[in-house]
Amino acid sequence: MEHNPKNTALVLGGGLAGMAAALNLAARGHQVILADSAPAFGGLFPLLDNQFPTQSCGVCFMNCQTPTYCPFIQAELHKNIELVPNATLTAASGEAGDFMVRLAVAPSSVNPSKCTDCGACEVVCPVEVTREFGDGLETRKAIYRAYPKSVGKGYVVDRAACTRCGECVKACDANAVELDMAGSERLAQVAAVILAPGGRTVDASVKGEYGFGRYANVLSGVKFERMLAAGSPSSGKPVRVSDGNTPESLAFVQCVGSRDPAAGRGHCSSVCCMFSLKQALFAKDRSPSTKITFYYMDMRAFGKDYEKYVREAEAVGIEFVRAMPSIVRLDPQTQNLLVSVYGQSGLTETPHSMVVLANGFECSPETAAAAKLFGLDTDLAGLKPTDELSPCGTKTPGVFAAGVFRGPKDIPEATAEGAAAAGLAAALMARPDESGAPLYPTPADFLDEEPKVGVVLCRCEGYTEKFINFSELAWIASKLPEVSFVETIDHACSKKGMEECRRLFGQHEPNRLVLASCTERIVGDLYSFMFKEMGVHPGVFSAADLRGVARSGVLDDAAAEIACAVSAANATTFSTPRRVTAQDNVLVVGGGATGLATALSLSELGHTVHLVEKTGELGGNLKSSFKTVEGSDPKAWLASAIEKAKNNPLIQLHLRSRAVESKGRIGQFTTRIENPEGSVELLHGAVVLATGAAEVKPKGHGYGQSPRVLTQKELEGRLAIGDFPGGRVVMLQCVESREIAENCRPWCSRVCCTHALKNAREILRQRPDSDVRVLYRDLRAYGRFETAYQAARSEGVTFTAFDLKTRPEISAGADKVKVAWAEPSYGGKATFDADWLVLSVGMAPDAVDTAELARVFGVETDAGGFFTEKNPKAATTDFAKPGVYLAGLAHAPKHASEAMTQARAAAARISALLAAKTLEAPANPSNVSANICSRCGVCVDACPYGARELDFEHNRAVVDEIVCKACGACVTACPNKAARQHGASPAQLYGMIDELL
Amino acid sequence: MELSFYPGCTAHSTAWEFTKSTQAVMEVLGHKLTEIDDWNCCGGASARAINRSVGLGLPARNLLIAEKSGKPMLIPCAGCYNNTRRAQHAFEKGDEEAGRLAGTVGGKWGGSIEVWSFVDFFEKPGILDEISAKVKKPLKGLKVVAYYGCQLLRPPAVTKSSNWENPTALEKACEAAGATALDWSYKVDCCGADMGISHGHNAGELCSKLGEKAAEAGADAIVVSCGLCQANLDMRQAKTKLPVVYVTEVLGAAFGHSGASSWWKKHLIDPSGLFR
Repeated sequence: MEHNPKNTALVLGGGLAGMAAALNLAARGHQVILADSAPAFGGLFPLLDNQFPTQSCGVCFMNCQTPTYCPFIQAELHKNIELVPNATLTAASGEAGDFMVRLAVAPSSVNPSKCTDCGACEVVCPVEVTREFGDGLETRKAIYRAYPKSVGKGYVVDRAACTRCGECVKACDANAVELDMAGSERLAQVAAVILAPGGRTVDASVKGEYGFGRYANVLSGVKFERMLAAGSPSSGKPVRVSDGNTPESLAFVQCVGSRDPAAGRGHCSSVCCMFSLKQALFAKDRSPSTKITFYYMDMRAFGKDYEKYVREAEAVGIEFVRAMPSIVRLDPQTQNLLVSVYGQSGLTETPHSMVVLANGFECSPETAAAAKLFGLDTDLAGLKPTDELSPCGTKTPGVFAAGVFRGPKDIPEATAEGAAAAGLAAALMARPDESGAPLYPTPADFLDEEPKVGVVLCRCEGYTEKFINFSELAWIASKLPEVSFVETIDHACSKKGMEECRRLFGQHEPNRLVLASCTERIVGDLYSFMFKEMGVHPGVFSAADLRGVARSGVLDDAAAEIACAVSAANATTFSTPRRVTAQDNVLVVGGGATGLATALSLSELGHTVHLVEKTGELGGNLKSSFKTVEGSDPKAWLASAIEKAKNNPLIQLHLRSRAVESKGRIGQFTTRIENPEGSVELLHGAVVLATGAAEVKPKGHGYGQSPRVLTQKELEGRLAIGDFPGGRVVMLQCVESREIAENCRPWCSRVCCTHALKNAREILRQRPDSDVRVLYRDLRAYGRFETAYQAARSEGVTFTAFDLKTRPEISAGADKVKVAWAEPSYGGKATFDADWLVLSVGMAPDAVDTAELARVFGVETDAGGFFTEKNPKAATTDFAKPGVYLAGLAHAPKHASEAMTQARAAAARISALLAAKTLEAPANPSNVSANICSRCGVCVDACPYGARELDFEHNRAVVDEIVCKACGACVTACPNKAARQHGASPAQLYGMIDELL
Repeated sequence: MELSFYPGCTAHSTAWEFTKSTQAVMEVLGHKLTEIDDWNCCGGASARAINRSVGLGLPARNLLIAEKSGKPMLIPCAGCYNNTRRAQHAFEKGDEEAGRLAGTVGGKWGGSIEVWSFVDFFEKPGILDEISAKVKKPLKGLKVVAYYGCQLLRPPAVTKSSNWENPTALEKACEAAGATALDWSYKVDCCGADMGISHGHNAGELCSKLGEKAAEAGADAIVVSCGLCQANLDMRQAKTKLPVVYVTEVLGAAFGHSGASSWWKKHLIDPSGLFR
């Protein structure tokens, strides 16, 4: 691939964050070198069988909606992305806009251009070593693939383990194994660098007292994750390693190698509570008789909707014990593990059949070395933060950071950071003339010809072949009407398989292709993309779910599935896809920190912005923020951001304004803005809703009755001007939060714990004689905030945990507030005459506002009034409706830096969208037969994408073809058969049904 | 190799057999032990609890004497070893206290020699092979658990141990002598020897539990490398009466050393039956 150095970025790290960065840059038309030190891409992600809190499975969760599009294959196929596996960064020089980087590429010892992934080498290899993937649950050979269906070149030789016996060389028919292959060096000139090398899991044996690596039935979190994967030795069932039996009881031990300065790791790994809960829920689901106990210090479920997930775990009977086990011992007779815990009833020892240690994340020495090459400092928590209000930036211009490298985090944050970093890098590069996405060709003449159908059977790497005789199936398929050839390939959804299909299509020149592999959901988009690139209308392609049907082992079923697809291919019709030109400007609703950051990012990427704010002043919550937890000055940031926005010719401000009506679609919205002077209509290609949320005023707890009761935000304001006298202070956390009751919010507001820490320490700094006590349920000082928690403790702030059963009693008077609580340290009741009670109340959006905006822009909100994103894992800044985006606190409570990350991510995603300039409809959008449409509106309700509306003037439903995803829901919903779709005509469907019957 | 040898106060009394077997084993292995000149109490038993500078000063003086010999310093007793390593650690921190310590004992620690327990000694390259080579009566069928107690490896910042929760050096030495070493979860627990006098019943509970757990693991004997652990476990197992033997006694027996029969006489629970 020829690179233009001024338009190329290096992305280091091919996990989710790196991949999100690469895909965003590539979509905007930039070139990307995506390098990873591993032989295969994906980072930790391919290990995950399911995700929290969606309980969704596999890699394919990345599809926000149908059809599926796997990010790994997408990255592999994208013409703007070059994948460089086995690569380590060894040198870097230069400056923003002009870096020279050197990558050392380790030899894979298998020539990727020759290897056919047949696996014969692996079978004959006599060397068996521990498999890293899954933390040693299984073994692998010295020649191996990192994980099944790995993206990046398949086989690789582990040089350290290889005995050079030569068996693999002999077994390889393709002569691909080259045991003497030399490593290579790759020099590249790039304009920007994104560091997303991820983290590694802490070796669970650092906590020797828990017996990982010593007792067979003590597993690390990673090892257990692997055990729960469908492809594990136990097929996803939790079993004891010692005897393969179903565990009677299973214990999770949290914070192994996290929050543990004695183990050299003080930071909280942020995601372990949630991934362990997920594992617990799946274990319970797959082995209902297993009793599950969770040993934890604080349940840090601080993400959007994570609180619900904890309630789910409680509902299925998972037992929660708030304690850090001191030791895990082995009962030699039963191989059970005895977990020792010191609690109110003294030291107890509880037997469990199996123990899972939730080992956290840390920055590897290799990653630290790579960061050092750019002058960046790391510690075990990852990149040391510099300016928290410039998220994903680093102190080195032109170098950006994303993902776990910036500190342990979950998938939604990692993917948002990937997009945000991509936006920062893109701003350094010239705006490309066109994006990388190919446009649909118009249907070629040959579509009027008689159908000529090619059938390609996919072995699915031998899986499907286990059930069905392929030569018999091929013979049957060859006799189907208009079938001109039948060929068999190995792996349809790999790059190699696609190239093979492309070759077969060129060789036999059919005008329809039936791919008998998996469902349309899985292969549809991949092949649409491929046919577009080939200049062929993607309507020629259809899929038959051979893999799904073949599992029954009945040949006739498989044959019928193919006959059905062939019948459909013969009867299909084609549309000429509709195109629209995208407006190159963006409407941003909300003028707080997030809206400002979005507008500024968009302008840096060359887009014009209309920034709409309902009040007369920009700044939102930051107007009353005085100091962040990490000590940055939000006021300074705000002043400079407002200044920049006001003086930026690309940004037009609309104060005292509201968006009241919006029409149109992605690329071409028309929105009416009302202000006191009247109203104005704005044309824009996309919109970002960044309307925020604010601290809630408490309903009870003496607030508003006693002057001695404050909210955390009010306290911060008084501390900022030195107007807080200190004294005996109680801070009460989770006030009217995390509770399903009247006047309460069920969600966790994420930021209150850290704000309490910040303010508690500030009180002691200003008034050292004060006595500050924090009463909390779970102290959610995640990531590096844990350091602030530990500092607060050592500075003298005292912390006492309570739960909903032992909630503190408050009686607020005019100059004292009496607080009583159950004191766990001695099991009695403690009373405290406080001078001040500070309430951490949490935050909520203005639900009236968000509901109104949801109506205007055709998007959704949840029960709390927060906006509902398209996909809670992979697309937190997109709405399901194309062209509408969200960012910041209106999505869920979060810190300013996290909101700004989303702002930058949304801006980057919009910039990638608008780079295409021309947006187009899918190959086979739905249409309306106007004369039989009765305008009943059923199709409008049925459409999940908002692509249909009623045209009262012409008395019919109309389809926005650009928004339509060709899912067919309207076709099945329409009582009059007025909703139709190319590629799904009634004749075609009846033909298909006939074949199946 | 040549080693300087710090016996400590139990060497000539309750742990006489530890000293004798140590000397015997070292002789068979061909390592020369030279008792350090004019050594004094290690300070581990009482000085440490009462006065920090005395607690560090006593072993610091021994360290400086040993360093003059230029040979690694072998300390069989866990308590002596621990307190001497603390003094070494205090010196090596190079802070104000290190300066005071140097003033107290009239010299600075140069760091030119290593301080070893038997755990450290067995971990040195080649030692296990040396042991195997000298075995005349392989201890086939003898099942043991190793008991390290709390002083041989902790705190890791002082001992520089990398595996203080699950050390395996004593097991490896026993295996080299032909015995079968079993894993158990109590090898670094406390036996309570330090409070044996003031809180005898607590020590008794701890020892009895250790004996029971060793028996549950299937052991015929408990192997130790500490005079106090040995005496305590030997005296205070309530139900089980598992013999408690020094690792050097195990090796000496496997070497067919003639002195072994005299060592067994010092035990309350007679181990001689295991080594016939």
